[in-house]
Amino acid sequence: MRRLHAAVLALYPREVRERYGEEIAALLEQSGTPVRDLADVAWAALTDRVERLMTVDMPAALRRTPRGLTVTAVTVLTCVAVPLLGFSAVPSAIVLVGLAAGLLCATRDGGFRSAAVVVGVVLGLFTLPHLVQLLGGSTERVAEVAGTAAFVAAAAALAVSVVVLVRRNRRPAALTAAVLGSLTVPPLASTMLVLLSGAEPAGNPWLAYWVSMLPYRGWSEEGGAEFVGVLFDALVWYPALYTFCLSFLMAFCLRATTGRPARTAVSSGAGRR
Amino acid sequence: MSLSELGRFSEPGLLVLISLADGPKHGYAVQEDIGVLTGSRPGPGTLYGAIRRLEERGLIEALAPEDRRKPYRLTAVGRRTLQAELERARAVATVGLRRLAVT
Repeated sequence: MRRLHAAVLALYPREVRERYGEEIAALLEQSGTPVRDLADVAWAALTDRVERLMTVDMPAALRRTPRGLTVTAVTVLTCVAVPLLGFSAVPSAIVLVGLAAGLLCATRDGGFRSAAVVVGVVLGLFTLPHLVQLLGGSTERVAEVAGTAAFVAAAAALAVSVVVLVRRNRRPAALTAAVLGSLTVPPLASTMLVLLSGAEPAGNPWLAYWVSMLPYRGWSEEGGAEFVGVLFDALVWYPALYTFCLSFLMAFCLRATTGRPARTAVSSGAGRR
Repeated sequence: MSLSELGRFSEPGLLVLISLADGPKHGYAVQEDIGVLTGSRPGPGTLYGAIRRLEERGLIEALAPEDRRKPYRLTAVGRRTLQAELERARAVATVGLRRLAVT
């Protein structure tokens, strides 16, 4: 029984376990309703674990994003943004709107709610017509719905990860995740779309996004048809979606991770201990 | 401060404060006291979830341990907070009971 108690107590964050673990174990040993009390302890431990995930304090050195990492991240993202802005067939306004939305949504302690609204609206705008078709019995657009849903889910997961890391004041990790995620999510979604489209790709499907985004080519019918027969038809709306979301993610993640440390997360964590 | 910021631990937190109002008690005694008071004994996770949050906010404080048991007592802030919470509850209860009497 003691082993079971220890296993359940292990669910608590270490500081809580060290501070209250022995007292909780003593109550469990005296319990007349052990199953109920074990479940209660497990639930409380998970609650503490989630709460700690969002508000834990960190040493001051880890709260700051190293300048070198910021410069590297800005450089990488600029290298992506310039071709998108200047050479892609996707209207530049989409990039600007995405960047502006990302900057407005991001706050120094996250801003996930705003980001969730933006991502949700984008999801709705781009998948609703296809969902209506699906409900009407047409299965022609299954690939688009699945590809877009996967893309938006991945984008949302990335935003959540960044916000959680920012709230934990792990800014270097947040910035690294933001840059890697921003560069990875659109290609993965494009690849999934190509693979689901049922056509035989003429090239490596993992390169679909970047091939189509090559400077001076953009998303053209020729470029798409060259890569895979139905690609242009399948992707006609998706460059705009992906480019918007990529711009949004870049701005959102960069602003969320490079500001000064959030006072709320730090002070609440420090003040309570 | 308001106990409502304790989230799902706000009600257990209030009961812990009430239990400690007549003197220091360790966890087991608080648990039993609340059981007698409400007819429902809180589980150890709920009890210590409330105790931790109350202690972090300076409403209660731990005394020197006795064996594995650590007594807790109300602080001055905790006493003021408990009084404010109970007066608020009494005001709400008074209005509710008066309205029940009217209807």
